[in-house]
Amino acid sequence: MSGVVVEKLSKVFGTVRAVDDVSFGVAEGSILSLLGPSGCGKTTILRSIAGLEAPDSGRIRLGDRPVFDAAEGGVLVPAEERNLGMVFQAYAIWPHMTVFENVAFGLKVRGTARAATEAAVAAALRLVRLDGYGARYPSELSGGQQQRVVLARCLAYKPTLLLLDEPLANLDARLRDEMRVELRRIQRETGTTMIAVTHDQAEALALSDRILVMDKGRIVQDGTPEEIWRRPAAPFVADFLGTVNRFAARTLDPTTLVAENGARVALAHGLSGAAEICLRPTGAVLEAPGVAGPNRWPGVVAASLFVGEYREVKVRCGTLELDLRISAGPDYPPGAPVTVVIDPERLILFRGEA
Amino acid sequence: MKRKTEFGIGLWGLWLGLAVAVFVLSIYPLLWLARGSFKTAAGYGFGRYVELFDRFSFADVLVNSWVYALGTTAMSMVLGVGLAVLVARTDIPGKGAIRLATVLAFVSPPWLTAMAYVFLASPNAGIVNVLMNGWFGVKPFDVHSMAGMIVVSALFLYAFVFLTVESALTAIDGSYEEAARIAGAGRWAVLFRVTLPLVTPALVAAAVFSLIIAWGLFATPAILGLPARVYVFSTQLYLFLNAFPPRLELAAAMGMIFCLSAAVLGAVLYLLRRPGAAGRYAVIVGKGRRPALLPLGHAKWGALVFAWATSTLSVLLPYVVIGFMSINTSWYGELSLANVSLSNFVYVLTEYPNTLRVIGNSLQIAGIETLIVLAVGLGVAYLSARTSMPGREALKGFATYTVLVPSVAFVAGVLWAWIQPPLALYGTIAVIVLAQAARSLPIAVRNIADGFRQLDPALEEAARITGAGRFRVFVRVTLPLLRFVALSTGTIVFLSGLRDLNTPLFLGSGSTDTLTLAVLIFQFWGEGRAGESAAFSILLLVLTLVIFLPLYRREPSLR
Repeated sequence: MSGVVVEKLSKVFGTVRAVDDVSFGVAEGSILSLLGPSGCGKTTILRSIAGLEAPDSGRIRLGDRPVFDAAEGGVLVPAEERNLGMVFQAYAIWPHMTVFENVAFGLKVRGTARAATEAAVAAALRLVRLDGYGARYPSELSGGQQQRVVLARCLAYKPTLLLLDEPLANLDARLRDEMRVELRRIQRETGTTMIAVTHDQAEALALSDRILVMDKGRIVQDGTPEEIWRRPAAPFVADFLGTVNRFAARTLDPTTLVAENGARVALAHGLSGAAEICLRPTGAVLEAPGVAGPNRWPGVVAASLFVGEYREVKVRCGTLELDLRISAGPDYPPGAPVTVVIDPERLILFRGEA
Repeated sequence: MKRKTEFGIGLWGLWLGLAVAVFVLSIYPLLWLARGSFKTAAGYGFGRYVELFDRFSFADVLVNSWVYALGTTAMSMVLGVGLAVLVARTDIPGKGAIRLATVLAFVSPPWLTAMAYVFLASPNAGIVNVLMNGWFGVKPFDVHSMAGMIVVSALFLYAFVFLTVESALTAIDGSYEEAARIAGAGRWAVLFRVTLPLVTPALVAAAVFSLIIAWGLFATPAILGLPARVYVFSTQLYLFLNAFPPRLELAAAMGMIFCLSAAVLGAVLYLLRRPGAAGRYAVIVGKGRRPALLPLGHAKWGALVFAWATSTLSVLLPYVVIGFMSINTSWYGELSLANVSLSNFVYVLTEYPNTLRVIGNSLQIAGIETLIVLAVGLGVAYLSARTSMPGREALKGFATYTVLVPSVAFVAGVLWAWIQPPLALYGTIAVIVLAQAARSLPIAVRNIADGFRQLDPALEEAARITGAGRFRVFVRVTLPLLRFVALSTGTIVFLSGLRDLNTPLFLGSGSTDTLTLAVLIFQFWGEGRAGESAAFSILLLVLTLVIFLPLYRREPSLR
């Protein structure tokens, strides 16, 4: 049995197709991330699953229960009857209730007995490591603790699905790392199916079992974090997963390309036709100037910035400028001639338009 | 080296001037009220308080006042909060019209509604009763009763509740309610457990001020209650002042009792708003905020009926009735067009000898009041928001505490303060202006202080760094930036001054020197000349709308 099934979902706002014929499923007990830039439709999908937004067409099923069906005599189950949990970007912890009352809310509206409620709240607070905080008001908690209260509030009544809307966006970098680990732990311990929405690729990669990369209301790629990182299905995905150098090339022979600046690239695997090449900033190293050749491009350092673990170096190779992260070797000052050594295993190639 | 003092002589001069103004306007009258209440034939003591209970069955008045104020507040809260929730948090259609009707109910004078309902529902001749009698043989309504007073007052006061609560509701981030819905709460659970508790401070403020306003309402209890001998605080005070000889000490003692009751309510409000409790209600509106309007679904029709019934009963119907009365020469009991004529207007505009004089008085009082209030309000708000002068918050407190004083109690204090030599201003326009200005000062200070808060101090600091002095910065930078706040505040103060009945009625000399439109309308009504009274009301209404509608069109916060 599948956890969530979304079929042919569409939603139009005015003239914008916010969600355009999107279908996917989420396996029970797994974490799926919807990753994309703002305005790509990911939040609309999440809110449609939640029941806060009414899509124009399509179907949504939670387990074997249809909660939305745009077909005639259709179904639109209101949000309060879907038995979901949702973590809002701005937390939405009710400031007039104590932590206990916040966490107990979902149980109270379900008419749970007092003793059972207290036990469930205690268990949920223990799960997020906030035991003993029940009597506090949210305004007395730190940002990270508030985030944990939200999780406890959602998990206390054991929802069939947990939705997370940019769950870590409001935390500082250190807390974000911590909460990522916590979220995975909680997911493991409770087995709750989760769908997260994020525009942060690192968050999506670290958190998810599967990622849907979205652009302009459509799914561009659907895969595991590793697949998406190693084999982006489109230049957009590669771009979105980290600044990359992108340039056009044509094939000279099946294993040799000529980049748009005239330099040659020797490939590890064969390819034919015109191509688009993506090179990650870590996909090359710098050496002292020497003999040029395939994968060894002569260049001149245009700028160099020390940012701690590595240097951000901009190298001009003919008509191309490459942004590289160099973590070893000497410091080449601006103006210095260098050789850029490209690792062909780390190139990402797309068949370009001829 | 000589060190320049932090605050120049000009600033100290302003401080002193404002302190004197606030003392004269807001503190001096209440000192006299307290003193007057303890004055007995033999010196000072609690004699007058005892006399109130012993000889004037004050316990009845006290009970009536509380029943009246609580009833009015309860009904105003139901109507006002209900409408505010519909407009601020649901997808009810026609929000602009509902809000306009409510704002109109707020600016139209309370006595107008009372007069209209006498015409509609007085026990024998009220038009609705006559019609019902014809159809069913019963006359069900009696507006001359406690219930009538409560309903008619609430049809005016709900607008105040609406305006107070709606702005608070609009500021809530929608995700609080969405989170509750997803957690499994239905519509009513969301409303009563999340939405309304989040705006608790606004709800309590609305209720407290409704009670205080209700204690100070005079026209409605006078028009509806006096004929039925239902006396409340304000009408009893009126009777004391109009007794012969006037019983000023009793009026003062009664005023003090209600001031103290109001002070207790004020303390409750303060406790709720103290910094420690604020975090439990303050709702931070972050980015990406959605209004998250609750879909009403099938409840939409019920909601629309509720909204439109309220608007009709509070604004539309009274206006239509007053309009009809003004063009009708015969009064009660008939809904025919046989007696339609413009004779009331002809009388009002050409025959009544003092029309221009009275309009002049009204405009003069409201105009001078507005100037005083704006000047003092700007000064007090400026010192509080833009300087660190000692005593600035106390000044603000003294300028605004009068919101907690029921209107007629304050007027009784003003009477005491200015009736004796050497400053015997009683019976002049000046004393009416002073009293009305003191009543309007709190809202002006609050509005202008809000205006300062929204104004980035850097704009003024930038001007000072270029070399401009404090005064020049104020005139060239601050004032222009605040002009809209000042304009809208001035309009509101002017309008409430124009329609104020209590102050000129209680403090006027009875001669045409101090006669205002509102007092004249009330006098005509008292003489049974409803047609003339209605015609003057229409005149006042036209004046009001001419002043108000341009503001409404320009001020987005009113819409």
